[in-house]
Formats: sequence, structure tokens, C-alpha cells
Amino acid sequence: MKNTDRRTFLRGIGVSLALPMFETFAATKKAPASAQRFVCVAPNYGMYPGGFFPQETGADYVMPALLKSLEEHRRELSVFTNLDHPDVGGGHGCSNTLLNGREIKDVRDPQEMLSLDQLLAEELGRDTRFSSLQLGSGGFSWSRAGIQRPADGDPSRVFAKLFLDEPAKTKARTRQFLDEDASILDVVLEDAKRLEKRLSKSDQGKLSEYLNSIREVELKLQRQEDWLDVAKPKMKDSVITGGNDDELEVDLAYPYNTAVFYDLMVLALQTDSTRVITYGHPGGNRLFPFEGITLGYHSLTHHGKRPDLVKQLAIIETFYAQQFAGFLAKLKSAKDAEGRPLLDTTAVLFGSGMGNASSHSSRNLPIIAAGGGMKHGQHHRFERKGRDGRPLSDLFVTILQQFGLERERFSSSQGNLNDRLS
Amino acid sequence: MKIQTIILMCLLTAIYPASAEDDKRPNIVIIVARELSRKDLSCYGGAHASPSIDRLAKQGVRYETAWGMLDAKLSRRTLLTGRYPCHDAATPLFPILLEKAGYRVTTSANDPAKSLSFIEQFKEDSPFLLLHLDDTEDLDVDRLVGKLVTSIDGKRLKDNTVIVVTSDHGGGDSKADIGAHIPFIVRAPFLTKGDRVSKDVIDLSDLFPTVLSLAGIDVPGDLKLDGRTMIPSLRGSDDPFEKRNWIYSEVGDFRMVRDWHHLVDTEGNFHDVENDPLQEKKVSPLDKQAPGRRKRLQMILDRFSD
Amino acid sequence: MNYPKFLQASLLVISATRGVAEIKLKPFLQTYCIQCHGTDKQKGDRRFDLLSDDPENFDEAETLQEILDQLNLGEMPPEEKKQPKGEELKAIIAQLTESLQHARQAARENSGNAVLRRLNRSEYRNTIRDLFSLNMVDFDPTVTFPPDDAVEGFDNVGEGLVTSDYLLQNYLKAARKIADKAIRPGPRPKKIHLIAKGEEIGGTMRGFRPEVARMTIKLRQPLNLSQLRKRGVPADGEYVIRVKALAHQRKSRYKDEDLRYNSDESMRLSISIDSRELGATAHRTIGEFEIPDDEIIEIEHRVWLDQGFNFNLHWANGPNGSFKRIMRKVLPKYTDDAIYPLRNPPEMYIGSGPELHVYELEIEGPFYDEWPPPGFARYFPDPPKKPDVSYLNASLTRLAAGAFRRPVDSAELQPYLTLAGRHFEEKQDFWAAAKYGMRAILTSPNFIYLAEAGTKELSQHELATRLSYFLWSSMPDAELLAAPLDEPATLRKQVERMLQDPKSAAFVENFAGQWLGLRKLGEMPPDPEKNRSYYVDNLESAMREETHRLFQYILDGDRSILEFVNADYTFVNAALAGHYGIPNVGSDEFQKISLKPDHHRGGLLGHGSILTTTSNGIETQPVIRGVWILENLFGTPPPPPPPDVEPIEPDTRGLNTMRDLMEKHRDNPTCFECHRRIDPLGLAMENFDHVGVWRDRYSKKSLIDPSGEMADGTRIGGADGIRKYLLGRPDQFSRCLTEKLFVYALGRRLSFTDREDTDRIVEGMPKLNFGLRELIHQIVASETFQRK
Repeated sequence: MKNTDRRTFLRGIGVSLALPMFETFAATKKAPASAQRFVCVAPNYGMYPGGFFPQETGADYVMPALLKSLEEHRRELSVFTNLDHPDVGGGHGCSNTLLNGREIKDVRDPQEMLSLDQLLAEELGRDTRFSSLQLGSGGFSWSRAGIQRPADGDPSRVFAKLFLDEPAKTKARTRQFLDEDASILDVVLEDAKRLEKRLSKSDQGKLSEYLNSIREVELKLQRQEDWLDVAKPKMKDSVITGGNDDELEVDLAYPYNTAVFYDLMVLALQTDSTRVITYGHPGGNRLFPFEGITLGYHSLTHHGKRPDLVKQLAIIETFYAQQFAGFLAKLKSAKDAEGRPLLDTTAVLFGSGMGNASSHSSRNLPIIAAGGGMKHGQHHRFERKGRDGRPLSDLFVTILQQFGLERERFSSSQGNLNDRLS
Repeated sequence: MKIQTIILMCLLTAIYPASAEDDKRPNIVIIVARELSRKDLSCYGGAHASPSIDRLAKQGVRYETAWGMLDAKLSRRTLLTGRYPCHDAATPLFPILLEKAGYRVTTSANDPAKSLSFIEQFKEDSPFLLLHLDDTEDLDVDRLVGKLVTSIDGKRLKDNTVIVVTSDHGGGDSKADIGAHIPFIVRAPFLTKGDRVSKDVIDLSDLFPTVLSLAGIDVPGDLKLDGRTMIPSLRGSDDPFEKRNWIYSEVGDFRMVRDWHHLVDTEGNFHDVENDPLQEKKVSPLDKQAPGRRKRLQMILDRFSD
Repeated sequence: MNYPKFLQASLLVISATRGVAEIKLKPFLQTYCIQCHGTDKQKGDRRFDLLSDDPENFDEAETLQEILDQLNLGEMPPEEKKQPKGEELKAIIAQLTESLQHARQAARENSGNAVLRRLNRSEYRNTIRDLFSLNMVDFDPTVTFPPDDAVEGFDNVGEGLVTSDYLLQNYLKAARKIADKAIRPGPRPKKIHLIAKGEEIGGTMRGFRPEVARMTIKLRQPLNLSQLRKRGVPADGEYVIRVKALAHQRKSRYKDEDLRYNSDESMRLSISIDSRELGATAHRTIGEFEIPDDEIIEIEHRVWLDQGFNFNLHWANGPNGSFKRIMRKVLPKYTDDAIYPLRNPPEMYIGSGPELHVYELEIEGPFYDEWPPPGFARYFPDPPKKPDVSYLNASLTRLAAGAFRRPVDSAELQPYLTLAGRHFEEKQDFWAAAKYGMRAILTSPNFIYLAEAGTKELSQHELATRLSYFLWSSMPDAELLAAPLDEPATLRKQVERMLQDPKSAAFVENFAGQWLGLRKLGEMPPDPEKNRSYYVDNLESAMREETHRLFQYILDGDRSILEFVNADYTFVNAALAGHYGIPNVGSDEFQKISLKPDHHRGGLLGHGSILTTTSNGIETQPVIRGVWILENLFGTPPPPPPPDVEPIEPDTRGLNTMRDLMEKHRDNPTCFECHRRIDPLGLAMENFDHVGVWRDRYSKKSLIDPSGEMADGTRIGGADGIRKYLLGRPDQFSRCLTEKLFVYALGRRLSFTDREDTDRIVEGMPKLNFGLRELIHQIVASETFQRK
């Protein structure tokens, strides 16, 4: 059968084909990469500017109110003022532009929506079980097809995905399903081609989404099958159950599960289950169960500078920073295969596509970079010319180069920040 | 006018319940067997047949977890004074308080004949208290209980008479849970449905306030007691605030407390006596409940250190 | 991007007429428009100086249409700018109208502008429901589907319905689940009847009074039947659940704030269902019951349960937080014998606080109306003892015709039949093979897409499909597929039949829900502390119900769509009436009531649902309200703020009124451009607070001033002013609703080529008394709907 042959062919070249054929940057590599893993943490509504941006520049800046808990890591991180995405306007949509600097309504080719993490996943994700993980609340990770990658907000499910091997019987069933699904795709592909002929030209364009998806799913099924028999790393589930510690209460509900997610992220990186992770703090108007909070999160972000509301908002954002500080501490104490602190080879980005949430602005984004072999320890303030600051994508170019990728441009970049960070 | 009179009358009866004609206060019979162990009673799963006491348990409440002191003398003292021996406090004995309140009181130290004839000759002018301290061989107690009950029931006093059967000590020399355990059976038809096994924890100090409240006597204001009235427990109340949440025992300088599950003593022992009644095992470090339980019991135990 | 062929033609026409148009248009634009929409400024993101220089550009025709509309409405040029003389204006309007008409005609000669679209989530779910007559209450194969993006406010527009690898993988998974559910050979499943009493009930704490099972906290101590805990119920079907329960000690010695509990409310017991296999996503509450104090009540509840599902009882409004918390943090406040903050023994608490007691728990079922299930028998009628390949082929062919919503030819089906046939041959398991074939059919683009052939005429089945996804959000039934819809009388009859069918609830839910933004209700919930009744009385769903009922009522009675703007009636239950300050509505049931003007509630503008969605939970948002009115009632949505303009950061410190805040928009001319249209409308609604309660003042000292002036100079004083303004321009509202209905019915954006039909329908509305049902008939009968 013709179709079977095509599949056999796909199988033959295996997982490496998961790489895009669209662009060939992957072929060109620089000298040894100083970063091997990438993590991005994003609070949906940004951080209150008055508590985030330091006054002084350089190494001796006073740690701003919201970031006090990051004091112990000051030498491993950089804080930036006046970075933003020039092509992005305000409104709720801007949160999702953090890693690509683009809005879908402005692009002609969906490939332009590809976000930094997914670009890196194409490079770093070939040999790991998961090319990337999207955790918490999603929205800012975009595939090459211009689709937002869905995120998983359930820590138990993430734990199972990473560390629990299915019983042999389930595995056999899964294998059977994968095989069957692959054959089903052959049949529907044939049907889709027949359908294509009946359609108008514009409809054919639309149907190509389906045809492309078939190809991508075939590769995914293949990847799943390749990993099916590889045992997952063994891990005690104390990270989600609390183990036997009486006083340790593990709460799997947001926001308490933030710490659990950070633990899972460290474990996922340590076991090399993946090398690219994004983790989002959700927006919405939930009432945070913290002392002193009486209003929904979203309502608080529209604080209109009223001190009582700003104070409440700060409780939430301080929590974000504390949790993030805890994560950096864990990355420092966890070691990679060569015994170096994981943080040294992990580029970590904390930030949001939203600047000032009170006006839902996309200017002056709150951005922290840490680890990844970059030169840290300073607060960098860039010039703002009229509406625009320095493109955030300049930082992304530098990050890409840390991974040994010879990239001079990304999204709306105009250069890089190598002079500051390497 | 009329309504006011009625209210006044109610108030009067509430204050002076001891007027002769309509005295509905219950008769109280307490039989304290000497060194009677739960092992001696078949209703507690013991080896010997104790048909009369078993029958009484069938008609009343049997307590699973009742403690005396670790020494018979100390137990009797606690029983009579309502105070733990360690306080070494001068306290009135409850039979005397009852007598003052108009009860006909008889205490019989190991004199079955006296006790039996007291019942036989009883006339219904005022309620009575019979405290029988027994010192016979085990099975004789059962026989005596049988005879007393038959006599009470024969005189149609059953519905207004509380019968308590317990013991002053039952566990040999062991300074442990099993050393303090005593049988405790109560029949009180106006309080409790029959055939009930209670998991409430009680100790002998509870008898004093129980008897006082049965007799309608307020505890004298200056009198401190260790126990609590058992009436809610006898009624089957669900509310733990009306009941004991720990019990206590001692001998010499040794003290121990327990709740429904755990025991702590002054020698630093901590055991899960519910699952390990012989206190042979250490509490597992995996037991998440244990540390909190231990601290609570220790806090209570510390109240009895000098 | 690929533009449809027709566009190229239409643009040619424009260039052909350009000779005439240019003479007048160019200088006209130069004189009146270019100053704001030219090289230097592009207000509203519009630029006209390049117009006609490049006729190959599609936007041209759309832009010209827009200019024409603005001139017709008299909105542009703005008052304070130089105005064209009457004669000049008339001439340019005539000129533009004519050239656009030519362009449209030419466009229609060619192919249409339908966009291939796939089923969205709710359409997929409904289609599966109807294809297999499945009970979908607990079975949602689409739970893991990514959400569908809305375009033009509707989530059934093809352009927004992207197909991704992620979605396709989900299609494969969903098909597996559906096949397991739909293919049910064999005899009627056996009944079970299980009872548990007191301590036998699963999940209760043991060692207390054995005759009761207790719940001591909210939700987190479910009680259930331990026999079902592992595997759930043995088969899909209807079950009866019975519960004997009692509310014990609702008021106790504990303070409400310590227990985080409200002892003033009656205790409520809720029954939820879940499935071990499906996990948290399958969890759903199926009923909530008030439990009287100290009196055993018996509850009986019938419910459809899927195989593997179990049910749980919860105390819906018990103390919040964990039992552990009470042991550690609360108990020590009430007794010296408990230690803070450690785990005190539960025996110290059980029986002392409020508890919900359950004495007996029972389940019986499954019950079936018929067996085999109709959705199975439809494709697999009278299965032989040993079904063979020909039975397999016949069955799958029947199924494919249903799934593809049209007859199928054997050639196109062959790959599917071969797939299943080969599986049967190899494994000799007929039903496994049937499921396999079914999975492939449900993954086919012919099922997933509402594919219309590349001709401009719709086939009979294509029209039936359009119609049924318009009015049912689901597949056409056999009658619709068989009806000769090219006969206008038949078409009308079918539309009537469809609107009477309960499936048309999807139309109200999906169309009205999206047109009016009702789906967003609940996204910005009000502060629970300050809006207790909003939660206690479940006002959110009451509000939604009111709006749904109004829509349904106008639709059912073919009443005037202007009743959306103002009506002397509305639909409320006691709680909502109380919220609105309308007295004498005693019943919890929804009822139609007459409104007096001083109730301020007539039409959508007085609906709590709309007033709440356009607020942020604490305060009103006049800008959002203004935009909402422009977009959904006026049909003239303002452009989004230009990306190069920084939004004003609101600074509400020390400001007294919303009006003061809005004044800031005047400071910046770029803002004021649009906000002069938005703000007066929003401020006129200020008498309604953030949950739609009427108010005359913000505070003792500050009175609300709802007056304002529309961009055209009309003075409006409050919501009534907006109503009056709109009722004076019925065509504008007709057009707005007609366009919304068209977008929803077609599943695509409107283009200038649809203009003629819209115009005609809007013109005809007065003669039809503005009837909503008639409007739907008009839309269905239009060429725009019936052609591509």
C-alpha cells in the first residue's frame, strides 16, 4: 500500500523529522552553548510597576518592594526597565505576546507567531520525552502553525505524565491505539485529498490546516511510540502528596500549588524529561485566599492607583516573587549531570507581556532574566524614545545565542543585549 | 395572677427538690468490687462466667475505657472524694453530702447481708444510696449483684434506681493502661437505653459529680473536682464538650493520661493503646496524627506534676 | 492570504467605473477627509489618500462602503470640521452607491464568499448527540478540545475555527470514546440495587454513633457507596439515588467566623458525580437539596450515569476549609484541653459542631426506555448472531451518510470500509472492527468540516446543513434532509418546525449568548463579601435566564425586535425582582411581569445580565458599556484604541464620580475621537451599578448625572434617552441585529457583497412589524444565505 510506505518512510527517519523543514537555522551552530535549558514564568497581568522597577541602575540598586525575596539571588539575575514589544498594542491580548512579540491579527504568515520557547524546543527537544512542557495557565506559547499551546494546570496529571509508567497492559493498549490512529490518519488523508478537489480555492486554503495537522500528528504518534518502551525516571510522589511529613500540607489548588509546580519543574529538568518549560500564573478574577485580600485579582489590577487596592495587589505579586525566589534557590542547589548547579545552564525568564495592568498597557514590561551562563547582577535601564523602549526581542536574541544558535534576529528585534549580558 | 403562681411554684420545686411527697430523686446503688479485673467478666470478653453482671450490662451501658488508679486504696479514695490522690486535698465524701440532702445512706464494707437487708427493708419515703464495697472472691460478687438486682426489681424500684458496678483495681502491678483498666457498668433505665457499649473515656473521679447531679445537689462552690458528671454520656450525648476527653491514673510518683487512642506517662512512654493495648510497640514515625496527640496528652499530664 | 476569485473581478469593476468616481471622489476626499485620514494622521486607523491608486487591493471596496455608510449616517465629517454642501453630499453618495452596486453584482456572478468551516465544540457535541441519540449530560468527548476563538463576536465563524495538530489528536481520542459509547451490542444490562446505612456508608468517620454517617465540613468529606467506589456503576443508563439525611445542630457553640460557615442558612446537601477514570474533569453537581433541622428527610433523585461513574454526597454549605484546620486551629479556642496548632483527636470535635447526618444511601438502576439503544439500532439494526463483512459495510455506510450529512458514494467510502474490513479479517472481532471504522469516519474531514462543494449554488443537503447549524447548532435530521427546500413554502415550514423543536434552544443560547456577551457573565464576578445576595440567590443564572427568556419570548411570538430596546414587561423570579426593587413577586419560578417606567427595566438596557457583564465586579465601566451599546445595539463598533496610543492610566484617587474620570479622555484628542461617541452612552447608564441595581447617587454627597450628548448633538438623559434615541432610528437597530444574525447564520464575516440583501431586509422590516421570527425567515430566504 502506498500509504503504508509513506509511513514506513516517516518511521525510518524517526524523531529527527519533528524538526521544522521551514527554516534551517538549526544546522548552523556556534561554539559550545552555555545554556541547555529554558524556563519562562509569566504572571498574566504583569507586576505593579511601582513595586517592580528599581530606582538605581547598575549593580548597587536597592531591591524594590515586590522583589525583596529575590535579594539572595541578586547576583544571579538581571532586572530590566523599558523593554517592550514595539509591534504590540495594549489590552488583555498583550499578555500572550510575551514570547513572540506579535499579535495574530497583525501577522500574514502564522509562522511569525512562533514563540521563543517553541523555537528553542525545536532545537533542544529532540532527545527528550517531551519537547517542551506548558504548565499552569497557558496562552503565551505559540507553535509554528500559529496555535497557542495548551497548558496543564493539574499538578497530579503533570506528575503522572512525567514519572508514572503505565502498566504493561495499558501500554499495549496505547500502542494499539497509536497504530490504529496512524492507519486512520492514512484513510482520512486520502479522503481529505479527494475532498480538496471538490472545494473552491479559498476553502482549499482552509483545508490545508487539516492536512498539515495530519502530518504533524503522524510525527507525534511516532514520537509517542518511540518513547513508549523507554521507562520513565522513578520519582517519589511526595512532591504532590507531601509524603509522610505531618506538618507539610500539600495543597494542589491554585495558588497554593505554585510551589508544587516549581518542584515539578526542577524534577523535570533534573531528569532531563524536557529542556523547555513555560509556566503561567492565570489571570481572571479569582479571589486569592490570602490574608488581607478582599477583591478579585483582575479587579485589583484595575486599581486606579488607589493605595488600598495597590496594597492588596502587592500581596499577590509578592507571593509570585517569593515563589520564584524559591525556584531559583532550588535550581541553584540541584545539580546537572556534570555536577554544576542547574541554574548555571538554565536560562530563566520571569516576566509578562503586560506592563502596567491598571491601564492594561504593553509598554515597559516587567522582565527578569536569570542563570543560563549570562552575566548577571545588574539593573539595566534602557532609553525610551517616544512610545517605544528597547525591543524585548533583543534580549531574546541574546538568549538564543546563549544556546549556541546563530541568530541575529527574532521577531521585532533590532539587535541584541550581548554587551550587557555576556 | 394564676400564671405567676405557677411560675413561682416551678421555681420553688427547682430549688427545693427534696420535699418528701414528690421526691423523684433516684436511688443509687454502687457496688465496688475489690481487685475485679475485666478479665473476670464474660461481658468484657473475660474467661469467667458472670451471668448477673452480664445481664446488668445488657440492660444498661458498659464502658470500654474506664480507669481507676493503679492501686486499690487510691481508687477508693478517688471514688469517694472525686479528686485524684496527688492533690492530697481534704474533701467531703459524697455519701455524707447525700445524707445531708435527705438521702438514706448505707455503706457496707464487705457485708452482703447488710446490703441485701437494707434493700429489703427499704420504704419509699426518701431515696437511698447504697455503697457496697466488696471484698469477696470474684464470682461471689456476681452472685451478690444478682441478688441485689432481683431484690430491687422485685420491689419495683428498677425504673428509679441507678446501679453501678465497678472495681477498685483490676490489673495487677503493671504501671500501664492495662493496670488502670476497670470494669464499669451502669444500669439507669431513666437515662439510658440498654445494651449499649460506650467508647467514652471515664475514670473513677467521675463518679462523685455523677452521683451529686443524680441527687440534684450542686457541687459546693469551693470544691474542686477532677471528674465530670457522666450523665450526658449515660444519655448517649454526642457532644464531646459534655464529656471527658482524657482520663488519668497514678501510683506513687508515677502518673499517666490517655485519650481514646494514645497514652503518655511520666516515664516518657507514649503508646497507641488502641492498637497496641499491651504497650509493646513504639508509635510509628509515619503516624501523622501521633505527634499532635502526644503533645496534647503531655500538656494535660503536666498539670499533675508538682 | 488568498482572496477569493470574486474579489479580483469586483476590483476590476471598480477600476472600470473609476473614471467617473475619481473625478468626484478624489477631490471630495481631499477636501473633507484626508486631513484626518491621510499621510499625517490616520484617525480610527483609516487612511484614504492611497485609495484608488491601487485597485488590486481588496480593502478598497470595503473602505468605500465604509465611507458611504459614514456619509449616509451623517457621522462624518465630524461637526467641528468643514462640511460638504447638501448637493455635493447627495452626488457623492449616489456616485459611491452606484459603483459599489456594480462591484457587488460582478462579485456575485463569480463564486461566493463562504469559508470552509469546521464544527466548533458545541456543534461537535450536539452533532454527536443527535447522530447517536446519546445522553450527553455526563459524556462530553470535547472536554479537552481547545476553546474556539470568536471572530466578529461569534465562535462559529470559519476564519476563527483553526484546525491544529492538537485538535486533530483530540478528534482521534474523542472518536475512541464515542465509538465505545455508541456501539452497545448484547442484552440489556443487569440492574443493581445497593443500600448502605450509617457507618456502612463510605467516607464517614467510624467509631461514633453507628447509625449515622456524618459530614462536618463543606464539600471535602464526600460520602458514597463503598461498593461503587472502585468501578462505579456497571453500565450507562438512568439510575435512582435515594438519601435519608438530617441537619444536626445548625447553630452550635462555634462562632461562624471560626468555622468559616454561615449558620443562618439551611444546610444544603449536594449530590455530585465523578469517575475515577476521568478524574477531576468529570466532576459535576447534579442536585442540591435543602435539609431541614433535626428531622430526617428522604431525597430521591433520578440521574443518567455513565458506566464507571460514582456519586458522592457533599455538604454544600458547611464550614469552609479542612477538618484538620478545625482540629488544629478552631478547637483550641474553645477548650483548654486542645492544643494549638496540632492535630487534636477528632473525638473532641465530632458531635459538638454543626453536622450533616446521613442515615441511608441507596442506588438502583439502570433503567432504560428501550433496548437496544436507538442510536445503535439505527446503524446496526437486528445484528445477526455472527455478523459478517457485508453487514459491517452496510452499517458503516449508513453511519457515514449520517455523519457526512449527505448520501455517500461507495468509492469515497471504500478506504473506510477496507480499514474496518481488514481489521475484522485479522482479529475476527466484529464489534472491534465496527468501532475502528466508526473512529475513522468521525475523524474524516467530511464529518469535521461543513464542506460545501466549489459551486455557487448550494445543494439540497448543503442548504439543510446550513439551516440546521444555524437554528440547532447541530446536524440536520432526516426530515430536513429529505425536504425540498427549494420550495419557499417548504422552507418556511421547515424553519417553523425547527424553531419549535427543543433543539432550537441552542440558537438562543449560542446566538443571543454571544450577540449580547452573556457568555462572559461570571468572568468578573462581584466581590462575595459585598454582594452576598448575588451568590446566595444565584442571581447570575437568574440574570442570564431573564435575557434568554426575553429573546425566546420575542422569537416565539414573532414580536418586534424593538422590544429588545424597550419593553413594558420582563421576566423575573422573586430574587431577581427583589434585586431590581420590584415588589410583589413571590415565587421562585420565573414569570412575566409588567413594568412601569419607574422600574427603569424595559429592554436589554435594564437587564442585570448586561449591566453586570459590562462591569468589573466592583464598579461600573462606562467605556465598556458604551462600546457594548455601540457594538450590539447601534451596530457601529468603535475601532479598538490605536496601538500607538498609550491608554490613560486611570487614577481614581480622590475622584468623586465616573464622569470626572471620563473627562480625562477629552484631554487627549486621539482618545476623544472615539470616546466622544462612547462615553456619553456609558455615562448615561451610570444609574445602574455594577450588578445592575438602580441608584440615584454615588454617595450622600454625589448625585449621578446621566445626561450627555451624542456625537450628532442629540441630548440623551440616562438609559431612557438611549432607548428613545434608538427607537427613533429603528433601521439602525434592525440593521445591527440583521447583520449579527447573518454572521451567525453564515459562519463568516459579512462582506460588501452581502449588502444588498441586508439593505433589502432592513427596508422591509417595518412592514413586517419588525418581527424577529420573520427576520429569521427573511434571512433564510435570502440569496446570501442560499448561495455561497
